[in-house]
Amino acid sequence: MSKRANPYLPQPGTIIDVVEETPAIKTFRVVLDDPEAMLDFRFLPGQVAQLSVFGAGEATFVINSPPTRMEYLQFTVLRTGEVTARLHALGVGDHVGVRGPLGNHFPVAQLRGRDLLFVGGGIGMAPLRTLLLYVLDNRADFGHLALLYGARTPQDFCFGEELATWGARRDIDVVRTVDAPAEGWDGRVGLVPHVLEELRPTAEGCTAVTCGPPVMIRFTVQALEKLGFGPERIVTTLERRMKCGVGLCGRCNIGSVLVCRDGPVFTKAELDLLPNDY
Amino acid sequence: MAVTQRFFLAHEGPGGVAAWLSAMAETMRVMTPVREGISVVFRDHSPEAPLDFGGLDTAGPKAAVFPQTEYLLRYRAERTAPVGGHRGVKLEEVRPEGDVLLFGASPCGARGLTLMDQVLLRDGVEDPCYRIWREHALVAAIVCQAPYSSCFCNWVGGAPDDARGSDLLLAEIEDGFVVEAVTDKGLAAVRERLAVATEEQARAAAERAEAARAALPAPPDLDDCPARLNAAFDDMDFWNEAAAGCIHCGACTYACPTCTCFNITDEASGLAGERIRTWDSCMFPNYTQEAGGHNPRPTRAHRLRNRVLHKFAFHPARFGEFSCTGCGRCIRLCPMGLDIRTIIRTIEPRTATQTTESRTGRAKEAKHV
Amino acid sequence: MADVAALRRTVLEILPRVDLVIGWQRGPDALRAAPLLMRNAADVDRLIWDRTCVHNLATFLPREKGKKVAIIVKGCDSRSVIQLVQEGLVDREDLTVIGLPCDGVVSQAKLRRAADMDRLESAEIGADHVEITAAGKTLRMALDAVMPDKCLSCAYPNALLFDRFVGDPMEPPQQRQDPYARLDAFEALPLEERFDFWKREMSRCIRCYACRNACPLCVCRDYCLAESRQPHYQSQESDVREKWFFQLIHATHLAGRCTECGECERACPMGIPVLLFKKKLGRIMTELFQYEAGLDVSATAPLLTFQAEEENIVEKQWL
Ligand SMILES: Cc1cc2nc3c(=O)[nH]c(=O)nc-3n(C[C@H](O)[C@H](O)[C@H](O)COP(=O)(O)OP(=O)(O)OC[C@H]3O[C@@H](n4cnc5c(N)ncnc54)[C@H](O)[C@@H]3O)c2cc1C
Ligand code: SF4
Ligand code: SF4
Ligand code: SF4
Ligand code: SF4
Ligand code: SF4
Ligand code: FES
Repeated sequence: MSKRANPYLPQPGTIIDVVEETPAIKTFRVVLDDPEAMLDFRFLPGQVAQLSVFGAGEATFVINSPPTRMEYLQFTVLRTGEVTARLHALGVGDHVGVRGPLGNHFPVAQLRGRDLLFVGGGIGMAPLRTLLLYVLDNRADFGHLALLYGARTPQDFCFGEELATWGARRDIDVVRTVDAPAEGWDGRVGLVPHVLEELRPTAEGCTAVTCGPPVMIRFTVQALEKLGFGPERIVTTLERRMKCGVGLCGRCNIGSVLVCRDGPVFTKAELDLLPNDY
Repeated sequence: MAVTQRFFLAHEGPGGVAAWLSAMAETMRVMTPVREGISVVFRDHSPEAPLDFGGLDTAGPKAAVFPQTEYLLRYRAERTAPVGGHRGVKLEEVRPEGDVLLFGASPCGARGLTLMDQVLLRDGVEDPCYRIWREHALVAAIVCQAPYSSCFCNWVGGAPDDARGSDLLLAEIEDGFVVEAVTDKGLAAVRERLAVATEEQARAAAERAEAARAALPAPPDLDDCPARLNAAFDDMDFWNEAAAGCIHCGACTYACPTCTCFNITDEASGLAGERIRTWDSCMFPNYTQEAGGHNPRPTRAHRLRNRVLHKFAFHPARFGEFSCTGCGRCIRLCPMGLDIRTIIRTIEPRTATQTTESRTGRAKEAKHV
Repeated sequence: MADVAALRRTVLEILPRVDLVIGWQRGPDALRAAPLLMRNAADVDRLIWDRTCVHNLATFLPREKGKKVAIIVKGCDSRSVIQLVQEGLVDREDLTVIGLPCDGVVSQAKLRRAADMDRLESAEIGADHVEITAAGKTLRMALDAVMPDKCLSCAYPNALLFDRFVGDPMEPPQQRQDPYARLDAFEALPLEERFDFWKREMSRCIRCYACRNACPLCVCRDYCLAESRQPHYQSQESDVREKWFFQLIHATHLAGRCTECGECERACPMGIPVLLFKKKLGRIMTELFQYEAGLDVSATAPLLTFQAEEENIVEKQWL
């Protein structure tokens, strides 16, 4: 974004597809109305955008389609409030605004050549999906891949079809877990951090990337440290209530860091330098 | 821009305040301080209304360049879709317009603009509306003659005659004001219109300023204030105590000449509407309320801590300066009598981080106290 | 006024049994106090009790809900506590009320109009006068001239609800002003003038909501419709219409609950006389329902009850 451009002006876009993931989560595929803008939209996994529903406002979402697949920009949205409720009411052909890409991204360059362990919870699977697809599209550049994905109930998993495809692949280990036993569920049962400790993944040569609700992240990071993952080898994203997304409105500060601009991706080593305010 | 020419603006008559203001009003909006009850606020200048320079502008000059409501864009949808969405949305950027002269600002208020500039213009992405307002505003501040008991500009590198942030700096003497043109923009506004000040007048003005400086008690040493504040971050006993009386109203931040935080919302009417940005405050519980129910700053103690540290530790870490001009507005306007000076003065050096309640504080998520 | 030593002794006695005691301490200058939350004996040394103790501390009770709290109250403040208890907004069991007799506080707003309070050097409050030295000038004023209106018409100088009463109960002082004097004067103005008055006053409002947050009975606070987006009642724009609208809502929500303690107006940093709205509704409530808020913990506020045929509301019989 050039310094003088209007950072508040969204690009008009149109919804081309809607997928109902869970009762509370929908995925939206959006194409920018200006084809050139679509070509110019360059980003890296982990970056976010502000989606506008005019009249309701803007909210921050991870662009969860990878930069390697630019037919559309994908956002997966949990319904929680004003904007997300209005988004959930939209269908194919409806117009939205897109402001982005914003924020930093997963350290893809540093991840190259390493084994990767993805640990996701709930809607936190969205950012992991981007990175995972990016890695699969550049499969030769990365080592062993594993995914641990937890949801409250079997109905709360996003990206069901893709999970099945990944599960069938030999070059990635997929484990799913739910919080409590449920009818028809033959996968694992237990909270993500516990299951993680049971799985005992090897820390050597591996980087863990974890996203999910704040509590899950906190305990997952503790578990990873116990398993021998160093602070540089644990990567996570922080959520913060954001408005401008470009470092102006001040809302997202943790100490002197602005999550919208200096984040949302942080390593545990970076988090350790921040005050205890997240 | 080192222009140091001094001019003279008489109280009365030709070359006087009224004449100059009406000349300025030909090309720009002129705003002057007016006393209303116990407040002093900037209003559109009316030649009939008496000017009041005796009191500091209650809410500072901030609103002239950073209005409480700024319209960012307008949208209009051509029609609604079956499920309630919009089809054919037209967006229109809204930009502020018109020059404004802010006459009679306080030096601490004007200096606040330089600190707002750091956040809104000099830290990566630039705020386009603020940029326009800043370019279009002419700030004429008046040197304080007798500081308030809540003033502490000299603690934070300011002074009653601080020229930073002003285009013109006026110092009142017997029969008028000695006007210093601080910027080229300021110079252009007075060069053709005002007489050059005599040496005697300039001297009288300097003496007044000196007297005002001397009237302020000696400042404490705040060099290690950021370090002391950072070390006390997790000492929730300290913050609970400091914030005990706070009702998280945000008056302190709204009146603060350096606070720039804002919210963005859409205000719709039918198929059209506006996206606006409005002042926001880190003293409000909602400010950090996250979607999942988690609030990293659940109590007034957490929030006051952020306000104080933002001004005296976080902002300095980024920009090398406190984001406080020592104007004392937060002290004067706080309905509960909180005093930021007490906090920055009494916070003690700590050897190690003293953690008490901060971790457990998280259990109280979403409970706003 | 009761002496502060006796008050401190009472607090020290109660302190071991509660999580905190809420009182007042000296604020930024000699005529301003600030709330004090006492958790240990050392804190009690800072407790003050004098005519600068203006804050109605009842506003902290809902905020400290769930804790064992003791609170120090004047007569007027105790009415807010009664109202909170009556509405179940605080638990009586968790609460220890330390009542005081009070013959009036001083109003910052009136002091500011009279003297250069920003340049206050020293102050002395006597039995019937205040002497202030500010900006080099010394001014002696009758106490009545700088008391808030509520004290000039105070009918309940002693705490009405208390577990401990410190000092001797006093006779209600002579009313020196009708409680609705300011409202009467305002309502005597022509409509246009009243409209212009509010337009000008409300244009100063900065939407900080100190008026709401200081109000002991405005308990929604962060779920307040002033900021709610779902439903979306109010625009966030800062025009007079929105600001005024909020004041009318606040007054309506407080109708029959408001004890006219004046905290809203006292707290307003822009000096907007927002108590006038509540006075207006308060008078209507008294006329319609012969009800005064904050006197009886077992009563129910009129607008929280429903009678098909209200006695004092004449149905228009429109069919
Ligand atoms: C970097 C980042 C990435 C995110 N990625 C996703 C994603 O991929 N999918 C997804 O569903 N959600 C994501 N979120 C969360 C999403 O932004 C919020 O759920 C959304 O903004 C809520 O908007 P709303 O208008 O519906 O809610 P509101 O009506 O504004 O509020 C509903 C609740 O959400 C809280 N809230 C409002 N705005 C935010 C915000 N920006 N961040 C956190 N909480 C907020 C409110 O305080 C309130 O508790 C992300 C947030 C961040 C910061
Ligand atoms: S003005 Fe005072 S009471 Fe209001 S938020 Fe600021 S410190 Fe708290
Ligand atoms: S923090 Fe207080 S004293 Fe400092 S600039 Fe802001 S209002 Fe003035
Ligand atoms: S974070 Fe708080 S103190 Fe800092 S600018 Fe924003 S409102 Fe002001
Ligand atoms: S209204 Fe009565 S009880 Fe309240 S402060 Fe005034 S005199 Fe005291
Ligand atoms: S306290 Fe005063 S300025 Fe603040 S919202 Fe209320 S009326 Fe407006
Ligand atoms: S969201 Fe505005 S500064 Fe980060």
